[in-house]
Amino acid sequence: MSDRSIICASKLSRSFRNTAALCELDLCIEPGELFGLVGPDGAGKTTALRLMAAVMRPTSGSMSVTGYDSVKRAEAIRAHVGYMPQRFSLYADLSVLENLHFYADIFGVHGDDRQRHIEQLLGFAHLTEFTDRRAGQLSGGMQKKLALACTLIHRPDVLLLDEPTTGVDPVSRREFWDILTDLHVTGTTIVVSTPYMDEAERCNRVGLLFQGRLIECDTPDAIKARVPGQLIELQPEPLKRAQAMLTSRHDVIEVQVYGDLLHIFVEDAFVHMPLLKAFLEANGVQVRRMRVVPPRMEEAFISLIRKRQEA
Amino acid sequence: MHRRIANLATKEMIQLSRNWMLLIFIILGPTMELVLLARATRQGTTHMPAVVVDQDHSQVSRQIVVAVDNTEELDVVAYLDSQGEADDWLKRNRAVMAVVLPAGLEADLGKHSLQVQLIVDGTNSTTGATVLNAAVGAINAWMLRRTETYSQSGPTIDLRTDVRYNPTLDADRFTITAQLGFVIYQVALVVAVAGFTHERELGTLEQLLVTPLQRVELIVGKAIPALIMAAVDFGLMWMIAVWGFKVPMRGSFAMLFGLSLLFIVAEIGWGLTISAIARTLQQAALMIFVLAIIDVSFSGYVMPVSRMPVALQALAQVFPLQHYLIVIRSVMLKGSTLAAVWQQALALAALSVGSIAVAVISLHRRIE
Repeated sequence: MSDRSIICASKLSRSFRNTAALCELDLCIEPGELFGLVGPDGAGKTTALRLMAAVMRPTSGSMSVTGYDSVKRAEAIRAHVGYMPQRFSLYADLSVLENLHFYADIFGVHGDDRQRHIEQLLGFAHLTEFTDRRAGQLSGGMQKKLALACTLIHRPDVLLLDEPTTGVDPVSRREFWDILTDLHVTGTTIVVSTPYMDEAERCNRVGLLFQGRLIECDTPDAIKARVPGQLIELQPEPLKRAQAMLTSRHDVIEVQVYGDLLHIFVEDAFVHMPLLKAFLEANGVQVRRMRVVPPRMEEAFISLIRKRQEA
Repeated sequence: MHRRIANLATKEMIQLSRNWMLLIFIILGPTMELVLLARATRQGTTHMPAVVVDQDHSQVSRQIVVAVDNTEELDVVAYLDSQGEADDWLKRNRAVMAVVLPAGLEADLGKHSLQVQLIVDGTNSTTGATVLNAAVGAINAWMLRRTETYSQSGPTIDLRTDVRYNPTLDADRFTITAQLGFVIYQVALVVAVAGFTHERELGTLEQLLVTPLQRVELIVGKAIPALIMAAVDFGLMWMIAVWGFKVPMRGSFAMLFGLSLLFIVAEIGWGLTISAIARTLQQAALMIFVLAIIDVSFSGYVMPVSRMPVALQALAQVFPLQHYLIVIRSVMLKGSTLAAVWQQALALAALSVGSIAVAVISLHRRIE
């Protein structure tokens, strides 16, 4: 809640008819932060980003972005913020260069600097050889990179990206995040919403949204540390029976299923691993593989959500 | 196979029942059209303004005037002093017919042939024919009664008709000029509607919302290409009408073009308003259709505006098509100058500014 925060939401809420998309959000993002917004579908990530971009009005509460109130000074915010919505929203029938020129014109980017800047962005986004291609004919990954380039045309202080890598192949995803990390180094504040937990790990801080509320907001390590116990991964057969047996045990904190694997949280892996293995085998369950693994954001996420649901 | 067809039909019915706008349109559209058209044709042409140039001031001349006034179709609204004034009234659309009664009508009745002149505004061929027949019928009936009453024989009144602007009462002139109006109307509306709705559907509108673009800039930016296209279309249609169909062009082209541009802007404003409000292209198309039906009904093409209830007449002023049809016919067929159509010109100017303003206000700069 410091005054230096570049984005600060206070009791921010937004409802649509009878659904509350966002409920009393209190969040402050520092300048230069790479902030990840994660949460299941319908958690309110898109709504939060739209409110930050001042493209939507809140139902109650307030927010300031780059020092301007998001309701009263929306136009001022737009000059300092770059927003990339989830759906590809550039002109499919215009070429890569035409799209860039259009947004440069709209944002009033002129002069000698403009050409250099556009070339820089094209290189940045690996689109230099594709300047004349129609945007609609680019691959999914390239479209996202072009959208990012257009968002950066006016050198914003804050970037708001709504699930920028959804539907993009893993290689392009990695390339995209390399671009983001480069940007982050230059001091741009970046707020990214993502369903991919491995991307959440790359952020300075992660905000976990669930049913419109922010249930966690901390560094990835701190969040992972919040999940009690240690994590054991095992491959039992038959899986269902093993799951039922382990869930009923008192010394198992939590059981999660991953395809044909089980992730279980125990207090002390060293102590419990041989114990549980013996227990399972004694009851007709074959254990193919068993080892200790460090908890990832994914496990932390599922654990926290589940606790929330049970509460 | 039958089951699959039934399956598909059921799915379509479910989707249809969820599309309330389409439903309203399907039920309301034809109903409205039918009611309006039925009303129009039933009313017919009545109480059209006529003027009299009475150079005789006798009982006979008064009786003739009463006979004409008594018809349902005509109402005598003024007594003028000269034929020149009568011509002016016709040119300014203040009357559709002038009855010129020569001096010595009463005195010379029965002695030799007298000419009573009926000057008719033929721009609207249906109206023109109707009022002409009515006047001729009324005067002939009067003559018959007089012959019976006074058992007068001998030379009677010779009715000379002079149909102005459209001597053959060619329906062509009337409909083609109206068509010019309709075509431009359609182009302006359709192009304007595609403006925002398409972008909203694609998602590109959301991106525009985060730019410094002001609403006015967005609207004007969309309006300009539409204006250019409609203007070019107007030019083409005009050439076809004048050179292909030999519709006369008696007035100033520059003025007609200028007023047409005002009309186009007014319609573009309506179109952009619809496209700012509609959520999908289908909704937009339906709204345009409804607007078109209402506009045509109020345009005076089917039913003269003066025949509508006063409340509706006031509403009709808001629709630009009505004013434009008057302009285009007056300028092309009558050679009217700005002096004759200044009211319409003013209305078009006001509507063009007004509809653009409404479009700007309807455009939300945020996602709601």
